[in-house]
Amino acid sequence: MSEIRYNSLFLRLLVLAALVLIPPVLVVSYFAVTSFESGIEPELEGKARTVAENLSVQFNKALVGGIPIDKLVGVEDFLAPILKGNQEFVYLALYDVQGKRLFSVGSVSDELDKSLVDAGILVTGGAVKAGGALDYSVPVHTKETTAGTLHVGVESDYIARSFRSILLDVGVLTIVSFLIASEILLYVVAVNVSGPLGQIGRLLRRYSKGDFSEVASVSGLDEVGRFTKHLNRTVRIVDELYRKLVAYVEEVRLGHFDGQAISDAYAVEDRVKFLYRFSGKGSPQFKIEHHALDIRLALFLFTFAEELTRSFFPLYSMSLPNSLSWLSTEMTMALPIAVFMAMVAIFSPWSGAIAQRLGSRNVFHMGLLPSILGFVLCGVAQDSVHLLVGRLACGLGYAMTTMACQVYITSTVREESRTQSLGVFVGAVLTASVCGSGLGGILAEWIGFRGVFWVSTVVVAVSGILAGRLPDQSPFSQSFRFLPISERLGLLKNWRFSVLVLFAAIPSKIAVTGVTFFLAPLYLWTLGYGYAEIAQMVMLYAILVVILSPMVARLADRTGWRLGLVVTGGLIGSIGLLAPAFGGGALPVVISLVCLGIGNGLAASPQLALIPDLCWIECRSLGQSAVLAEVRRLERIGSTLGPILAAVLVPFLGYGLAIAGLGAGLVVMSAVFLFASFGFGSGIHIATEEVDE
Amino acid sequence: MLWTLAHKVSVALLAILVCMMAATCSFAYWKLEDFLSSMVRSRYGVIVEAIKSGIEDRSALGIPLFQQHSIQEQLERYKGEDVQILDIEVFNAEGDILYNSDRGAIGARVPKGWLAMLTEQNWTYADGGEDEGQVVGAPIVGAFDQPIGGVVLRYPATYVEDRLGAVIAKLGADMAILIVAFGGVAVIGSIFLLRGIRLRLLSMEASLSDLIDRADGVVPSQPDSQDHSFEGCFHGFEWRTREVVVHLKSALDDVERLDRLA
Repeated sequence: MSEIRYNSLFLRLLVLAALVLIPPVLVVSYFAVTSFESGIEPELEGKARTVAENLSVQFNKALVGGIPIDKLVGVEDFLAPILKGNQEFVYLALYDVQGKRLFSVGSVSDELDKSLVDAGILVTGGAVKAGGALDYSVPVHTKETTAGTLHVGVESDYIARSFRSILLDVGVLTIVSFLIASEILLYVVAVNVSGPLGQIGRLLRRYSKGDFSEVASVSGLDEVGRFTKHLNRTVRIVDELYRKLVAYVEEVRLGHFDGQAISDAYAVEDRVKFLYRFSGKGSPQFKIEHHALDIRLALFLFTFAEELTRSFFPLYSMSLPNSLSWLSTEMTMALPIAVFMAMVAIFSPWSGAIAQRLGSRNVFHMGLLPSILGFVLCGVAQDSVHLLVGRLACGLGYAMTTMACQVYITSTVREESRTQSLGVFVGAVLTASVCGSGLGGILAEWIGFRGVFWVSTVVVAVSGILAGRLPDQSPFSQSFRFLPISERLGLLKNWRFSVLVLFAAIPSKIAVTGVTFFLAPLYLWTLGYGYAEIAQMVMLYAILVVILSPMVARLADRTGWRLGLVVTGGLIGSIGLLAPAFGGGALPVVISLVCLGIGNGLAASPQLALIPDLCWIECRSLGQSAVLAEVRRLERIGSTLGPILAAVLVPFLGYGLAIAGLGAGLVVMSAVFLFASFGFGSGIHIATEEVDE
Repeated sequence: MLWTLAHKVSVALLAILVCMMAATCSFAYWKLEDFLSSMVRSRYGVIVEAIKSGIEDRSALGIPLFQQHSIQEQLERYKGEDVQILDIEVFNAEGDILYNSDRGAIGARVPKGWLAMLTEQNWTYADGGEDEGQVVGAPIVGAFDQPIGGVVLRYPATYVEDRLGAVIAKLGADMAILIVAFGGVAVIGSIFLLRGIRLRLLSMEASLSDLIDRADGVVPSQPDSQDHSFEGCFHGFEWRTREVVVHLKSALDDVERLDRLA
C-alpha cells in the first residue's frame, strides 16, 4: 500500500474546493448582473428622456420667441456641461426636420445622421438605435410647427461597461475568498489529517523499533481519533504487561531469599529492558507535538487584517484633519506608515526574545492587545494624531504576533525541514498581502474606511481564538536568537553584507512602502480611480511577488545564480519606477507596480539565500537564522524611510514624478550594487578573505 | 461513525461556500443597488436642476421667488408625468414652502436639515427616513450669489428596493439551489477523496483489535524495515508488538518458574 501523501491529498481537496466554490459564485454573479441589467435599462431610458424633455423646453422658449432654429447662438456651450455631467451620454444634438444636424456636442457622425433620417423620427421624436448609441429624441416647436428634434445619445455599451467593473470587483472578491478558503482548508487538513497522522506515523516508526514510551495525543471521533484510541490501547496493554513483569520481579525480590533466583529474575527483566523501551514514569506519556501549520491560519488572519487597510491607508489619513500642522500634509499622511514600520523594526528582537521566554501562544495573545487597541483607535480616529497613535500600537502588536509565529515555526524545525517551515511563514504572509490589499479596497467602498478597521479588529480577534488552540509552551531555548549590538556591528564590518543591505535590501523596501503603500494609492486617487480600482492595481504587486518568489527560489537553488537575480530584480524594480516620468495616467503607475512586483519577486528569495554565501563565517559563528533575522531587521529601515522620502519629494514633484524621483534614486543604488557585486566573488574563498582581514 | 474526516471537510467546505455566496451576493446587490440609486438620483437631479435654473433665470430678471407662480404649474406637471415622485417643493431661505406639487403642503415649513443644504454648492442627496422618502435637492441662488431658497424632489425610500425586490427573491432562490447542488458535490467529493485514508485506517483499526490475542508465541518474520510508508511503519509496529508480547509473556513465564522453583 502506498504512503499517505498529504500534499497530494491537500491538492485534490483544493481542486474539489475550487470546483465547489468558484462555479456557483460565478453563476450567481452572472445571474445577478443579467437580472439587474433589465431593471436598470428603463431607468437609463427615463433619464435620457427627462434630459431631452427639459432641454427641449429651453429651446422651445427661444423658438417661440421667433429665433429660427438654425440661427440659435451658443447652443454647443449650453449643451457641453450637460454632456460632461452625464457620463452615460455620448452626444447631444439638435436636428432640423430635414435631418440636417445643426448643433451638436460629443461623438456624432454622418452615419448617425443617416440612421436617424432612415428611422423617420426627425419630426415626431422617439427612441431608436443609431450610430452605435441609443438615441432618445423629442421634438422642438415654434409657435406654429415642429422645427426639429433634440437628441440625447446614450452609450449602448454603458450598462455592460458599468457591470464589467462590478464583475471585476466580484472576480477579485471570488479570488480572495478562494484564497482564504484554501487557507482554512489547509488548516482543517493539517489539524485533522496530516498533523495527527504525521505524529502517529512517527510514533509507529518508534514502536517498530521497540520504543513504547509514548502514545499519541490525538483525540476526536473521526477515523484518525478512533484509530489512535485503538493504537494507544494496544500500546498500553503492552506497557501493562511490562509493568506486570516489573512488579513480579519486585515481588520475587521481596519474597525470596534465594539470591540466584532474584538475580535470574533481574536478568529476565534486564533482557526486556535491553530490547525494548518503556516509559520511566509508570505509564506511556502523551506525545505533544507542534507543527508549523498549526499557527499558519492564525498568522494568515492576523496579517490579512493588517493588510486590509494597506491600499487605502494614506487616503484615510488624508481624509482626517491634520493636527500636526507643523508638518506638511504629505508628511502627516506618511508618518503613520513610517511609524508602524519603525515599531516593527524596533520591537521585533524584543518580541522574539519574550516569545522564547513566555511561549509563542502567550506572546501572540499579548500582541493582540495593542493591535486591537490600534485598530479601534484608527477606526474612531478624529485627527492625524489619533491615527498615528493607533498605528504605533498596531506596529507593536504586529511585531509581537509575527515574531511569536516566527519563533513558533522556527521551533518546529527539529521535526520538519527548515525550508518547509519558513515557507509556512512566508506563504501565509504573502497570501495575506494579496487577499488583504485586494479586499481592503472593495470593503472601503462598501462599508467605508472606518468599517474596514472594525473588520480588521474582528479578524484579529478570530486569529487570537485560533492561536489559543496551539499546543502548550514548547522548548524554544535554542531555536531562535537575536544578535546583541556588538555582534550586529561586527556583522556590518563584512562589506559584502553591508553592501547587500544598503544597496539591495533597503532600497527594495523603500520602493515597496514608498510607492506601493503611499504614492501609488494617492496618485491613483488624484487621477479619479475608486478605492477598489486602486486596490486592484496595488494588488498586482503582491500577486507578482507571490507567483515569482517560490519559482525564483527554486531557480536560484538549482542554478546558484543568486547574485545575478538580486541585481536583475533591483534594476527591473527601480527602472520600472521611472515610468511616470514619461507620461501621466494610471498606465505608468501600473507599469511601475508590475516592475516592482517582478523586481522584488526576483530578488527577495535570492537576497536571503545569498547571505550564507556572503557571510559564511558569521553564519557559522552566530547562526544562520540570527544573521537572516538581522537582515530582515535592517531592511525595515528601508520600510520606514520609504514613505518619508516619498512625502519629502511630493511637494516638489507631485505624486507621479515623486514615484519617478524615488525610482531614480533607487536606480543609482542598484547600479552601485551591480558594480560592487563584481567584487563579491563566490565560494569558500570568502571565508579565507575574512580571516585574513 | 457520525463525525468522520469527510464530514469535517464537507462542513468546512459548506460553511465556506455559504459565506462566499452570501458575501458575493451581498456585494453584488450593494454595487447594483448603488448603481441604480445613483441613476435614479441623477434622473431626478435633472428635474431639480431644470426647476432650479428656471427659477434662477427669473430671479435674475428681478422677479422674487414668491411671485414666480408658474412654478406651481411646473411642479404639478412633473409630478403628473412620474407617479414615483412623492412631491416636489420649492421653499425660501427661511424654510417656508412656497410651492408644492401637493398644494396642501404650501405654507408648511421644511425640516431644519434641508436648510443646511442651502449652503452646499453641488447636488445634495439626503435620506429623509421612511416618512420623508429619498430626497434630491439643490439650493436656489439669487442675483447676488446668495441662497434664496431650495428645490427638493422626494421619491419613495423603498423605490430602488421595490425595483430590485423581485430580482433579489430570484437571486435568493438561485443561491439556495446552487448551495444545495454544490454542497452535495462537496459532500460526495470529500467522501470520495478521503475514502482511501478512511478504508486504510479502518483496516488497520480492525487489525489492531486482536493484535494482542494473535501474539501466541510464534513471531512471524520481520517485515521490510526499509519501508517507511505509513503502512510499512504500521506493519513494523504490528510485528514488533507481537514480538514484545511474546517476549514479555515468556519473561513472565520465566519469572514465574523462578518464583516457583525458589
